[in-house]
Amino acid sequence: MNQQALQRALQAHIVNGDAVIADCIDNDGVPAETRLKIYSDAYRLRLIDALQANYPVLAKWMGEEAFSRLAQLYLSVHPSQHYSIRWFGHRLAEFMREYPEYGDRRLAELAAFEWSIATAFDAADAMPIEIVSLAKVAPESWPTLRFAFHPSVQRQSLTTNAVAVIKAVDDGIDIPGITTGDSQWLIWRQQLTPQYRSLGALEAAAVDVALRGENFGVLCETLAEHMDADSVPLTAAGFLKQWIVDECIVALHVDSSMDEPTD
Amino acid sequence: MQSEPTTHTSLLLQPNLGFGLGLRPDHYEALLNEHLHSVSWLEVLTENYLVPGGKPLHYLGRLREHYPMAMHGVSLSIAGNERLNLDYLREVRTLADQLEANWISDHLCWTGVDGLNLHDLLPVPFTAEALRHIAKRIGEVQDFLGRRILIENVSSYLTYKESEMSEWEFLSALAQEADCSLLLDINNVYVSSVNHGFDPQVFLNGISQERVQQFHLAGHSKVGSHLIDTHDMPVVPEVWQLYRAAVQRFGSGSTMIERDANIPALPELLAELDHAREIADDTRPQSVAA
Repeated sequence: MNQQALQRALQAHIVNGDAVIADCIDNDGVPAETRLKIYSDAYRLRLIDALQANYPVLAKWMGEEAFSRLAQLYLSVHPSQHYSIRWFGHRLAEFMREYPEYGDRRLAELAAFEWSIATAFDAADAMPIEIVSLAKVAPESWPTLRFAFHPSVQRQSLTTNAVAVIKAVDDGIDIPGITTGDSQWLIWRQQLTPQYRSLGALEAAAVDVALRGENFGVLCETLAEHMDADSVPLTAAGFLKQWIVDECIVALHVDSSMDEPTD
Repeated sequence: MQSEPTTHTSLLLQPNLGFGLGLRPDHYEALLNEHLHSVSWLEVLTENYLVPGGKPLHYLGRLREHYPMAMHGVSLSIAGNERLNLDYLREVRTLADQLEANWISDHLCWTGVDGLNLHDLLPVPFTAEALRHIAKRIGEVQDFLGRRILIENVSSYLTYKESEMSEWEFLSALAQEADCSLLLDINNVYVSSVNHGFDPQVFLNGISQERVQQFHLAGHSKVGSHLIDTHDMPVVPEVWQLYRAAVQRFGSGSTMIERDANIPALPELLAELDHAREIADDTRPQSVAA
């Protein structure tokens, strides 16, 4: 057997239990099957541990046995292809939505939420701006103002109380029963620590517009569809101020063509 | 006509960094505060820091201000049959440049085929074919990184019928052929010696003296018929004894302790490191006399 065939055969044993490789392994003292089992067991344990590290609340909530079953099922469908084990599990929420066995919607929503927190943890660094930066924007430039968000900033829309599970596990209290209802969330990192908070419907709409790269003028137009036009500027400015205080904004951009004085 | 192999002469002789530890997040604060400069250098797990930003890179940058660093990877898959992952190597090179890493090491193993990464250090058949293949790939990696790399012996739980030579013969021939250095993991030598029934001293005697740059020390666990390289226990007396023999043969080299699970408070590892220092000092009376 050449090298490549040998590696394929050992991998096939580790991943699927294929027996071909056993004939190529020395049996001295200890049977080849025993030796091979060390690798196949270690493979599963290592990847289950890695998934647990990325989804600590989900793992705790499901319990060791159920989480281990989920992890092995996921591993069999989505084995790791990345050089870093840190990215193992990036499709878990999507995977769970497809399996009726994980029909409790909170499970998949919790997985998606935890992955966002993990992503915020080691997202790229960027220096947040301070509130004083807003004062430097000329009044006529406000409509063209665009916002660069910190690379850790993400949005989640939930239909269950999945976040209540995270809070309950964090606080060591009983996990509440499932309730349904839409909620909007912002996830980001402040300094070194991931943060999340709920958003009202208006702020969620404003964040989504701003995250798409639209300017302050469009953001105000969006808000005007949902509220009294007179209140829009103050509300929009209030949201913007909060995002800056939260360290979610790293730059303000003004469309230079609009900077020109108008006649 | 064959081209001359590249020799990375500028990096042939790396300094002996002394006694260090594998950097783990549990010890970030202690190494920056109450135990600042308690070790001479740190070995960082390469893949853990190939991330965009946040806490891992924040602490790495702060620690680098106080400690020299070497990088230790697990995903090079130098014995693999896939193409070398140039995206990965580019990231490794960038991090090495940022850290001004003293060196980069990885393992004599493969990690997967057909696009998979099993995240394990899978054993190599010790054949002439594998030797040629791996030496060629080490050459490509060294050219890409612009530096000599260190290759580490792994703990193994099986051997292949096809093997044509011993592990130590293979390692020495590989280092010569590829012009790389070696990271000798003393615990791995011991674990494999028990698992495969060879004399660990024979292993050490079979390794070229001038190629060994660094030593790893670690603990292991006994599981049924085998020793498993778990890195979750203190170094055992048999491994200390083998370390003494290694120092006799190779000099103390840059020595560090790896602990990956059941991680104790830093002082416990510092005490283990003191023991390594004592062994090295005892074993090199000429250095003590000087």
